Amino acid sequence: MPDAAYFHATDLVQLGLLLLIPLELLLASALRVRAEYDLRDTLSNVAMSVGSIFFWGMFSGLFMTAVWFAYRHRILDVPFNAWSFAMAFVLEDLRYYVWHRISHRSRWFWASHVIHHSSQHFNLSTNLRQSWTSQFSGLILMNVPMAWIGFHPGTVALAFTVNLLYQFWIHTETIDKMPRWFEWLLNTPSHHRVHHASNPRYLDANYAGVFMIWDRLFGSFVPEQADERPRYGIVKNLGTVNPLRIALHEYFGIARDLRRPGLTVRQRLGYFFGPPGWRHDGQHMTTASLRAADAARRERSQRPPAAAAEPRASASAPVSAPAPDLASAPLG
Amino acid sequence: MKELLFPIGVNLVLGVVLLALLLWKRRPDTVCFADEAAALHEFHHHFPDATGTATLCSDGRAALIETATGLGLLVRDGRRWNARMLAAHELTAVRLRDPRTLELRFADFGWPRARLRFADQDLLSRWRTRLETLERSPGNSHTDLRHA
Repeated sequence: MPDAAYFHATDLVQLGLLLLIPLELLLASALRVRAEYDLRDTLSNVAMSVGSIFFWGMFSGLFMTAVWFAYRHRILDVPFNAWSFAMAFVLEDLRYYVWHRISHRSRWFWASHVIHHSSQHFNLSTNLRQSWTSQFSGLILMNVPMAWIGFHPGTVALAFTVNLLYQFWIHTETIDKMPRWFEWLLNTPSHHRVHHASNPRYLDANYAGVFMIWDRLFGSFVPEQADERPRYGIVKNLGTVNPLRIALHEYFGIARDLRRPGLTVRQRLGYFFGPPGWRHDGQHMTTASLRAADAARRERSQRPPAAAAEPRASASAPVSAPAPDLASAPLG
Repeated sequence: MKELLFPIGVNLVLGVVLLALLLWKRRPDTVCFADEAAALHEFHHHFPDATGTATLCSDGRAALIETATGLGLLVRDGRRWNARMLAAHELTAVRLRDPRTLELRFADFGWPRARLRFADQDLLSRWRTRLETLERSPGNSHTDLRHA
């Protein structure tokens, strides 16, 4: 198993990384770098971090019990050395990719992960905005297979920690693009800005932790476009900085939808495990439907003026006509 | 428990440092709508297919948008803007918080309230009546046009 010194080293790195937050803030205030900090948003990030550490500390024992159980029934004995750690790191990164993708594609898991995406600001302090409920969603058990293969739980924990530490520096607008080879191979601020954006074309993309190769392999890679600046946040942004509301809002949303009268079991399961934005009446606001609508809108706007059905947006006139399929829908 | 106290303590110290820096380096509060066109432009980012005209609040930090399909609301969120359509079933209360401020309450755990300031008393009472009527309208459902 890895020596305790490795974990002390990661603690020190973590402390060093935290110091980058005030540094970025100071540089931004001197207009030396591009970063936007808002008082209430930043403090809510810190509050979410404190809550996340507390709940992780209180309940991570449940998860570690499962990991140790799997390790006791391991199928191989993998020694701790540079090669095995490299292998563990790559496997951990693949696990992270799968975990992350599920966390975005199924509402029950999204309810936990949405916290990290719920700020409309994007800077190094966004790292602190972490879930309070990740131990309860069930996906934490995805760490079990590595222990079952034969990696010591300490090795799994170290790979997990190093993976998360890597992701610290990518939460920034300060860095534009890295060299091309770097952008191709590794996760970068540019790729992660796309991941945190709510523009339809950027939704549910770039799930990678460290190696972008997973997104390229599994078709979820979307590059940042120079002509479309990311708008950070979620499709329905929050109107509060109350940490409790930030932590639990999506669970309340699920409960509200499950209480709708007259739903079938299948429809209730859809609200629970379906993609975020799924609706039983077909008026979805899922990534797929939002992207399709956006693509249709772009196509309409590119038609010649005579063929286009809608007028251009202007300050004094209506911004555009409603989409034809929704023009006659009941509205409040 | 001791293992928890250290990282929590570090985060709290970081929070105090960031608070001090943000107060020290506070920039002039310029995030507000200059005019109705700016509000409409922002609303269009959130609801690209909505049509409308805007009424600005007196502090420029919120706007009500009259669209062809209902009322919309824009409210400042830090250095960004939040938008929503005002659906009757989500609007639970319209209150006069002080003589110049209307407070709207929503049945929405993630966005429980919004405040609208009006220097013009006539404008305030017109919007108050309008919003109270919406609040009381029975079973008035709303289709979210966001990105539609």
